[in-house]
Amino acid sequence: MASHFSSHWPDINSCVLSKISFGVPLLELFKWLEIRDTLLGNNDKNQDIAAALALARDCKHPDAVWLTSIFEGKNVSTKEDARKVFLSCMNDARALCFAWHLTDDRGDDFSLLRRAAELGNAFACSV
Amino acid sequence: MSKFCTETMRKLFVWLNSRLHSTSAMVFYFLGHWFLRGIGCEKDLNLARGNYLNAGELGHVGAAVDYGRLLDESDSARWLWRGRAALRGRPGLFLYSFSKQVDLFFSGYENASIVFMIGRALNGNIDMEKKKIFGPPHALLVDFDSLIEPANQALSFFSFQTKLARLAVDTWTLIATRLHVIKDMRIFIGKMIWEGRFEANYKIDNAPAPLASPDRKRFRKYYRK
Repeated sequence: MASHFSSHWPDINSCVLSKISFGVPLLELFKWLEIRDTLLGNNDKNQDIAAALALARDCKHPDAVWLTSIFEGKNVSTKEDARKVFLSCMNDARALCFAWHLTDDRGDDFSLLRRAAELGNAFACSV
Repeated sequence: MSKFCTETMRKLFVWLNSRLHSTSAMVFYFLGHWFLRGIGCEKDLNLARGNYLNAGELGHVGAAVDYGRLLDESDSARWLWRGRAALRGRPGLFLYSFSKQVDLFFSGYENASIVFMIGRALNGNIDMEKKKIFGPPHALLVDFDSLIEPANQALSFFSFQTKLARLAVDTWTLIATRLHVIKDMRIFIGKMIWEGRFEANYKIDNAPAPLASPDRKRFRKYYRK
């Protein structure tokens, strides 16, 4: 009962999540999901590129480490700048998926998303 | 797995499951949606509920809303999820429907645990000065003045139950210490009493006189570190 009605959300001690194998520590997964939501402005989060990149620097999730590495040494604070960085990594499925997400008229053109999915990006497939 | 109608859907499910570290909340959310609507699979309310719960536990706001919708109206967990969604910017369902539950309770309906959960969600999220409940984005959609009375009633009920649960834990600690109950057992039972507050079983009519300010100093000497 304690965990089910926890005042923390998401809760690291969730008995529901403890039964699922995510392949990464739950804490790092929570951090990564917050980073992704902040980066993309998803899941009712306000989009804040700079804040997302700052959070990513302290996260050990593989995708956060990758994100930090491609933005290394770049001064990026707007989504247009971030999109350009992602588009410079055209062979990376994750970058294509994020580039599509940061496109203003993404509802009209799914080519980046489709390419990301074809390259095996699971997030692109789940979108 | 046999619930999937097509081989493609089954493969997609297996493949997405193997990549939960990078998709997670979205995968569970969409699986919930597919099972609810029967998209590429047989409709299955239990599987839909389970997947929405997984996504909700991972912090997916949409899943919190949808999972809350799938729970029975008499289930207090419904208000836990509505409260969570409200805190993350989707207070619509909560604000439109909580006053009905509070009215029902104060007219004699047995939904104390629901009102407790409503009060718990409202705790710390009412701004009397700015006339806002759960922050600014949706505050104008619902008339604050019509909500503040049931909100305060739910909040008072929550505070009352919490205080009584604390008093019960204090009393148990006092008794257990005097009876030399083993420390681990004392703590375990104390936690059970504390968790029992979610059932909201303490009756308002039977409230003891010192309820408002339990004499914690008096009890403190019985706590052992």
